[in-house]
Formats: sequence, structure tokens, C-alpha cells
Amino acid sequence: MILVALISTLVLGGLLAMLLEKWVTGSAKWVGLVASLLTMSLAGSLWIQYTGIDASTVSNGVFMVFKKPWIPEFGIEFHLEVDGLGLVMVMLTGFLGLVAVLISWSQVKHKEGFYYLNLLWTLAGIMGVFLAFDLFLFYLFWEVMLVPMYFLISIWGSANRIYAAYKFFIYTQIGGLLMLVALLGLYFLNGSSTGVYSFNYWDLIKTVLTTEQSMWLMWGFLIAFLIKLPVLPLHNWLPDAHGEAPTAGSVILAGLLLKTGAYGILRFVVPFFPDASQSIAMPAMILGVCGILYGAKLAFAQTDMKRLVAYTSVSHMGFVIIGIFAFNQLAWQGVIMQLVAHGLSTGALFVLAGILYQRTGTRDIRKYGGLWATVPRMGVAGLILVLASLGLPGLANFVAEFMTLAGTFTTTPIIAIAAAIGLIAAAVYSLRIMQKVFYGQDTASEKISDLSSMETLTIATVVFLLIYLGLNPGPITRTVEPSIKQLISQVETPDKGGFSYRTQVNNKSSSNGKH
Amino acid sequence: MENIDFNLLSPLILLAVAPVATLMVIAIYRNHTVTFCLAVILLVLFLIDCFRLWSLSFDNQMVDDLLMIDKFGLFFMILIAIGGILILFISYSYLNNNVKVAEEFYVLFLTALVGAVVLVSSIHFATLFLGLEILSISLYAMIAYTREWKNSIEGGLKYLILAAGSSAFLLFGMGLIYLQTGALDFEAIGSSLEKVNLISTAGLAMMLVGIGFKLGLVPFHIWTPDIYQGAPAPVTALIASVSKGSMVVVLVRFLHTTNSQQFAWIIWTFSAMAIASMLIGSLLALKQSNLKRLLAYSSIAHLGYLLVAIIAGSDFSVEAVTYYLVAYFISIIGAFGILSIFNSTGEIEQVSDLQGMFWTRPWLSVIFGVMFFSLVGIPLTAGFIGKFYVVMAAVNSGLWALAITLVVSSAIGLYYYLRVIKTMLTPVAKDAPKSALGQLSTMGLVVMSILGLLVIWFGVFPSQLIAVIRSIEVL
Amino acid sequence: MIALFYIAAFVAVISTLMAITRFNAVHALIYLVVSLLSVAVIFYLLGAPFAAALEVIIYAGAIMVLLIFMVMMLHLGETSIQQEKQWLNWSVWLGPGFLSLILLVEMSYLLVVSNEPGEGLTVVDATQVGIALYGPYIITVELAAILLLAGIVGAYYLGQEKRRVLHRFLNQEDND
Repeated sequence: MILVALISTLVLGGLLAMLLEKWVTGSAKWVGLVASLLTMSLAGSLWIQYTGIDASTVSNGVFMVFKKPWIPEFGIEFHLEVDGLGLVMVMLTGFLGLVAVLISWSQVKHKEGFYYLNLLWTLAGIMGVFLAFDLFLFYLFWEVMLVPMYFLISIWGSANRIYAAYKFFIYTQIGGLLMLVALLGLYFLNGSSTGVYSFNYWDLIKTVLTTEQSMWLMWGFLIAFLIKLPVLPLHNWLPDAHGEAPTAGSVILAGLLLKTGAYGILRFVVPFFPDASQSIAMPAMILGVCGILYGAKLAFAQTDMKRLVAYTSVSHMGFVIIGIFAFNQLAWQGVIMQLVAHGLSTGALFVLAGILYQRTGTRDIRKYGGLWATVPRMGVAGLILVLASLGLPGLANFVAEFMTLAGTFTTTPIIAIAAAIGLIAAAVYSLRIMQKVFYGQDTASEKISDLSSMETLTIATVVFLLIYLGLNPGPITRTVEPSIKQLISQVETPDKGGFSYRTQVNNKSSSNGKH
Repeated sequence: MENIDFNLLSPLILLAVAPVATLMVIAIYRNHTVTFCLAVILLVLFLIDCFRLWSLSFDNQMVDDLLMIDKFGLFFMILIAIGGILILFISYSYLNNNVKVAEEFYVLFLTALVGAVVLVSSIHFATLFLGLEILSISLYAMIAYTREWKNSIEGGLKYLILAAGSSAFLLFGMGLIYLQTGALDFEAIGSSLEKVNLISTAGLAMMLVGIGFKLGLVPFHIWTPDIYQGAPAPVTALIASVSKGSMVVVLVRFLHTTNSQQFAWIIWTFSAMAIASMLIGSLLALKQSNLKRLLAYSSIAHLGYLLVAIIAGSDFSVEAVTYYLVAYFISIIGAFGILSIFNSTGEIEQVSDLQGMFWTRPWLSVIFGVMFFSLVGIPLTAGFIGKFYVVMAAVNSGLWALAITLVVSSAIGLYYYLRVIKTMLTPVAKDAPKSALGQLSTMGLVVMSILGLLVIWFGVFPSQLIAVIRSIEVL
Repeated sequence: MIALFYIAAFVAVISTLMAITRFNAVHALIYLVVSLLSVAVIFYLLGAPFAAALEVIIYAGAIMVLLIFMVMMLHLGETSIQQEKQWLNWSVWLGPGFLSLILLVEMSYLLVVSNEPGEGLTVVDATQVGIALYGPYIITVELAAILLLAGIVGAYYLGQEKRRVLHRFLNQEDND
């Protein structure tokens, strides 16, 4: 029930915010705050519940299930489950949702009711994506999180918002629709071989596919997730969307939406198509390395603060791809660590960029400079976040990148080495932010105000979490361990059918899917 | 003749009496409201009769090889009746505002529905052609009904000429098939059409041309935008939903009964037409600033989607077509309805007319947004389930190329639907002249709300409707 | 019999070709009348005298005459009267007249010399048509009635506006 509550709190909160704002002006933000606090506490209670149970006793690492038939004609259920991986993502969603509401507090001035509706519904969609174990439901949430996000960008974004919103929507929608086709392909192949037509995750994971089938279907899924992540040639929407979105939108985009891509690969692509994904591991990793270096290069060249941070995301997500396709537990734990750490640090960097934009009216970093003297609290926050972004030991990002690279090194050392160069590039562009914004000559004529207490609290919490997880990554890595073991077992152990076994089985059944 | 079961024919007889009765009442007492109420009451009676027949358990029955009364046809009769009633509600205020003499509209409207109902139960060339002509002739006059507008007259004339031309193709095709098979009813044609030869191929091809025209499929789509634009918005709703829908149904019946899908070339031709319709419809819609033209091009794409489901040819495909048509009926009637329920002379036509509507009329805009989301296939709307069904049918039959094209076309489609929604959200500048949109008619708003809720309902809880559709045995 | 069919068909093709290639609408329409007449002869040859009669009465008779009158009446003014005189000189009648003559000869031959239908053909007369229409096809007759109703109501509505129709004989000076 708590799983349904996680989603429905946000959905109902959004509706309430919209309706209440009509009668009581200014009430929407309070509704938003209450809803996101409630969600956060629900996620927290889930966490406490999870730490209370012995992970080894639950099958597949899943410790809570909610199932209700929805469209039985198609074998579709309203089916939510949560395991360690899901739990970490739910926690992140709850936390960043709260951050997004808080940061919007003083920044959003018009049409607040509709704003909070969209904000909370985006979060609800993301929450649903992390919880859905019925693939139809997953696709549904995948789509649902787009529409409100589109409105967030296109109504409350900055100058070039409409273009950015279109681009964002169309890129992700194409990916989504390809996923739908692949999803249906999987559904029918599974249905025709087993006789049970179902969108259930645990049914579909058992689908036996020929090499060719699994290759095609994998691409359908993979493209959707790679667009979201994003990976190098498909990253084009990201700088625009991140750059033009309102602050809370950027936080959600960078902190959560990108994570749905990584989550999708971990949860669906690899377990569903283990052989096919292994066969493309090398090209994918090379793309990952290219992404790291190319993202870093472009980040260095940006003058727009938000676009700069956006390109660092491209760079950081390269590590995620590399880690995923290294197919070992260490790397995967690093990947999830990276998802959390990047969500927090980049989210907070966007918060900072949003605050700077609000105070100075520009996002051009050439027009900043010497801000440390006037806004020391902002400077400290910026310094820590930038150091986190470049992967300073002691902060969560370092742990993440280290684990990813160490895991990768055991399988493909050359990729790990190449990716490590990206760390140096990260140092360069990260320090450039510090240099341009906070050091140097103060050129601004007007003094700007420092972080307000609420902003300080928001960023301080993030910084605290980054340091805490940097020193003690155990809570995350321990939580995700059982689910990672379960997921990665699809690739590593041959008992579910090695390459040759699958091929044989499917030569018999391959024709069933065709009409 | 002797063994005609009047019980089974009663809906059709009732509906055929309706225009005559309406005409009589007009002759005695000419009043718009009275005529409107009468037409609605007659349609409701028809609907009730359809439901009565639906609840009876009866065997599919042919009437003199001309008509087939079965659940499949009844389902669409019910759909047509409901769609018709909704369009009538939209039309009332529209006619009040735009036309001096409105009564004849209802007579034509009812005859058009007779044509549509005959089409959906037709299993014979004679009824197919007559149904089609009744529908088309009524539509000519209805398109030109707002005589004062040049576009309207032009649209009517264009439709007259092009529809007559396409009917000629259809007739000639029928003639060639008759020459080959010596039969006019679908079943007999099906049993003697097995041999492929030049004459039957030419006959089928010419019929395809005729049907392609009526459905507005590429490359026979050129009339669509002009007629959609020229016709009064309620009539456009009728063309987009009832007229095209009943044609799709008769096409499904024809292909199914004659088993024409055995011919590879028909599948290839349909596939090419579907792909072209989906892509060209979507691409041409991109540049439109006129809402009705935009919807016209999008309807070309939508018919392409429907064709994909038809090509699939499995058990799924009829279900998919049926569901898609239901979803499409609701959404397109809703979309055109909103264009026509403003209590002002003329219509909202340009996309820019909608600017800022979200902030001045939030409820109506939400409904409009829901209709558009349904047309584009965003989850939680009926249109999504419809599109999902179609993709399902395509994938089930292994039509990957068509499924992918559908996906691409949908993605392009997103762009122009979003553009309209975006316009509604863009606030109007403070000093801009007051919006030209007039007051809303309450009746129209109620109908729109019902439609909006239906779209959501069928999108969130499609189960019941799917169960009903599954219970229909085709033919 | 076959030869007769080909003669009539030849006339039909020639006259139709002429109809669609004439620049002058009146000339084209006259050829169209001939074309319809030849089709009527073909119907007769094939054993469908009732269809042949309908073809002559409805198409060649009523509709064509109406059309020709309409075309001629739409040409208003002094110049068009002069034109009309030129249109209707003897050379215009020559082609259609010749073709009609062929048909007449053929028809007379059929009526007088050989009044038997061709091989494998059965004559379908008016009674049989009537029985078919009011027997198994009664529904289509009813539908056709509704079709006509729709047509009439539509035409009535669209034509009911009272425009001032200026006829050239009544209101000559207005047209110049």
C-alpha cells in the first residue's frame, strides 16, 4: 500500500495544489511542500522497513509488492515492487523532489497552481518508473513524466524555452515509442512461446529469444534509455532542456530523469537481453568514453552556467555507461553510487546556478567574477559542489567513480584508463567554474544577496549527504547489493541458458511470433 | 422478402423513418428548437432499439444477402448513434449563430446517418453503393450549409465532384468484379475470387481507388484539407468520425468476407498507402496554422494507423480497429466540437485564436488538451489505448516496418499537437485586443465535458470496453 | 450479332471521343446524346430492352435535353445569340446525324429482320426487372428513395435563396 501511496500522494497533491490555488492564492507551494514531505517520509519509512529485514530472506531482493489486475484482457496489472535498487532511487526521488519544491519557493512567481501540479506529477511519473514491475505500467509512467516536464520547461523556462521543450519532448517520445514497439515484440514472443500473454516483469524476463530477435528488441529498449541517459550521439536535447528549464526543472532533469535511463538499462536491458547486451559492450563503452571526454570538452567551452553544468552531466553519465557494460558487481555498485552522487551534486549545482541567475539576471559566467567576497556562503557551497563534481576523495562522487573504474578495470582495463583521463578533464572544467564565478575581479556593479536561510539549509543538506556518503558509502552499496546480484546473475551465470542453449531453443519457436 | 425479420431490421426502419418524420414536422411547424429536439429524440429511440437488439442473443442474420445484422454492425450503429447525438448537440448552438434556416440540416443529418448505418451492415455491392451515396449526398449539402461563406460552397462543390469521381471508380471496379464472379454479395464474391486474373485484379484495384478517396488516404487525400476547412465545424466532425468510420467498417467487412487479403498485392498496396498516409499526413500537418486543416492532415495520418490495423489481418486487428475507432470518434468529435461551441458568428479556425485560452477558460482548455493528447496517443487517454492496440496488432503480425513508421509518424504528430497546446498556454499580452472568442454555450460545454471524461475513462479503465469488443464475433 | 455489337460499340467510342474533344459545350453534348443512344442499342442487343428504353428516356432524353438547355441559357447577351446561330448550322449536325443514322439502320435491322437475342442471352424485360426490384431488392429501392430525399432536401435548401435571376430576354440592358 505504501508503494501506491508514494505515487498517489504526489498525484493528489498536484491536483490539490492546482485547485486550492484558485481559492487561496499562495497555497499551492504549501500543498507542494506537504506532499513532497509526505512522500519523503513515506520513502524514509520504506527505508527503515528495509533495513529491518534480512536481505537474504527475500527472493530477488524484492521486499514489497503491490498487485492489482488492471486490463486483464492484455495481461496488464497495476504491479509495483520495490527492491534495493528501487529503494535507493525512490529515496533519491523523494529527496530531490523536496529540494525542487523548496527551490521553487521564491523563484516561481506566476501560475503557481499549475506549476506545482506539473512539478508533482513529474515526480509521480518518475516515482512510478522506479516502482513499476509491469512493463505496460512502466511505459505508461515513462510517458507520464514527460508531459508535465514539457509544460515545466515551456511555461516557466527561460528565453529559448519553447525550442528546448519541443526538442526534449520529441527526442524522448521517439525513444519511448521505439521502446513500446520492442516491448510489444517481447510480449508477443513470450506469449506465443508460453501461451501466457503478460506484461509482468518476472514473466518477460524468462522469454527465450534467438540472437537476432534479442538484438533487435534490445535496440528498441536501449535507444529509449540511451536518449534519456544521454549517450553521445543522442545527447543533443540535454543542454537545451537543462539550460532553459526553470531551476527545479533542471534539478529534476539532471537529478532524476537522467537516472531513469540508467535504471532502465540496469533493470530491463541487461536482464532481458544478456547476450545481446554483452555483444555490444565494447562499442557502448567506447561511446561512454567519448561521452566523458566530449562532454568535458564542451563543458569547458560553455559560457552559459546552466549549459556548462548540463554538459558535465553528459560527461558524468559516460561513467555510468562504462560501469553498466563492465558487467560486474563492483562496477554496478559504483554506477548506482554515481547515480546518487551525481543526482545530489549536479542537482545542487543547478540550484546554485538558478540562484545566481535569479540574483544577477544572467547565466553568462563571463559576467560573474569575484563573487566570493559578496556571497561567501554561496562560494563555500559552490566550492564543495565543484569539488564533488571533479571527484575529490572524501566526497560521494569519488567513491562512485572509483568503484566504477575499479570494476571496469578488471574486465576492460583500456577503457578504464581512457575514462580516467576524463577525471582530469573534470578537474579542469570544474575549477574553471570556481575561477570564473567566485574568484577574480568583481565586475558586477550591484551587490547581490547571499543564500537565504532556506537555500542554505537545502544546499547544506545536500553537501552533508555528499560528504556522508563519501565517507560511508555502505548504506547505498549494501542496500543495492541483493538486487544487483540478482540482475547481474542474468549475465554471469549460465544456468538460465547460455548462448548456445538459447539459440537452439529458439530456432524451434522463432516462427511462432510471426503471423 | 417474405422472411424479413422486422425485429432485426427495426433499428434501420426507425432511423429511415426519422428524416421523413422530421420533414413532416418541419412542414407543419418550422422551428429550430422543435426540430432539434425531435431529431435527438428519434436518435435516442434508435439508440435504445440498438441496445435492445444488442441485449438479445441472436444469430447473425442476413437480410436478402443485402444487409448483415450482427453484433459487429450493431456496435458501430450504437457508436454512430452516440456520435450523431453528440454532434447534434454541438450543432444546435452553432446553427443558431451561423445560419438563417437551420431545420433542413437535421433532415440531412439523419439521412447521412441512415447512409452510415447501411454501410456498416452492408454485405452487398448494392447496399454498399447506396449507403455510400446517401451519406455523400447528404454531406454535399451539409458541407455547403453555411451558404454565405465562400469556403463552404467551394468545399461542397469540391466534395461533390471528387466524391462523384471516386464513386465512378468504385462502381466500375464493382462492375469488373461482377463480370468476373457474377455475384454482388461479398460472400459469393469471396468464394469465386480465388483465381487471380487481370479483370478481378483491375476491379479490386479500382475499388481500392474509390475507397481510398472516401477515406482520404494518400495519394487520394488532396480533398481532405479543403473540405475540412470549408465545412461547418460540426459537419467536419461528422465527416471525420461517422463518414470515415463507416467506410472503414465496410472495408473491414469486405476484406474479411471476400478474404481479399490472400492477394499479396493488396497487402502491399495497403502497406504503401498506410506508410505514405502516416508520413505525409504528419509532415503536411506541421506547417498548418489553420486548426481545421491541421486536423484534416492529422486525420490522414490517423486513417493510416487504422489501415495498419486492417492490414494486420489477425483476430487482433478487428479489435484494434474497433477500439481505435471508438477512441478516434470521441477525440475528433471533441476537438471539432470545441471549435464550434463558442456563441459567436464564425468559428475559431486559426491556431493563434486559441492563444492564452488556458488562462481564461481553463476547463475548456483542459478538455481540448485531453482531446489532443488522445489524438496524439499520450497515456491515460483513450487514444493511447487505441494506438497501443494498433501497434499490438501490427507487432503481433510481424509488421515491423509499419509499426516503426507509425512510431515515427506519431512522433512528428506530437510536434503539431504540442504547438496547439503550447499556444493555449502562451499568455496574451496585456494590451492586446480582447479575445474574439464569444461566450460558451452551456449545452456545448456539458457535451464537451462528457467527451473529455469519456476519453479519460476509456484511457484509464479500458477493460470493460475491450471485453465488449472481444465479445463481438466478426461476421 | 457480334458484328452488330461492334458497330454499336464503334459508334459509342467515336461519339464519346468526339464529345470529350469538342471545344464547344453544345457540340460535345450532342455527341454525348449519340453516345448514350449507342449504349442503349448495345443494351438492346444484349437482351435488356428495358434498360435500353431507360437509357434513351432518362439519359438521352431528359437529362441531356436539360443540360443542353442549361448550357444555351447560360450564354447571355447579344453576341451569344449570334454565336448560337453559328453553332447550330448544318455542319454541326452532320457528324452526330451520321452516327445516329448508323444506329437507326442497325436498330431497324434488329427490329425487322432479326428479333432474336444473341446466343446464350436471355431477354430481361420490364416485368422481371420489376419483380427483382420489388422482391429481393426491395430494401435497395427504399434506400434509393432515401437517397432521393436527401438529394431533394439538399437541393431545395441550397437553391432556396431568392436571387434575382436576370434572363436575357427580360432584362437585356442590365447585362451589357
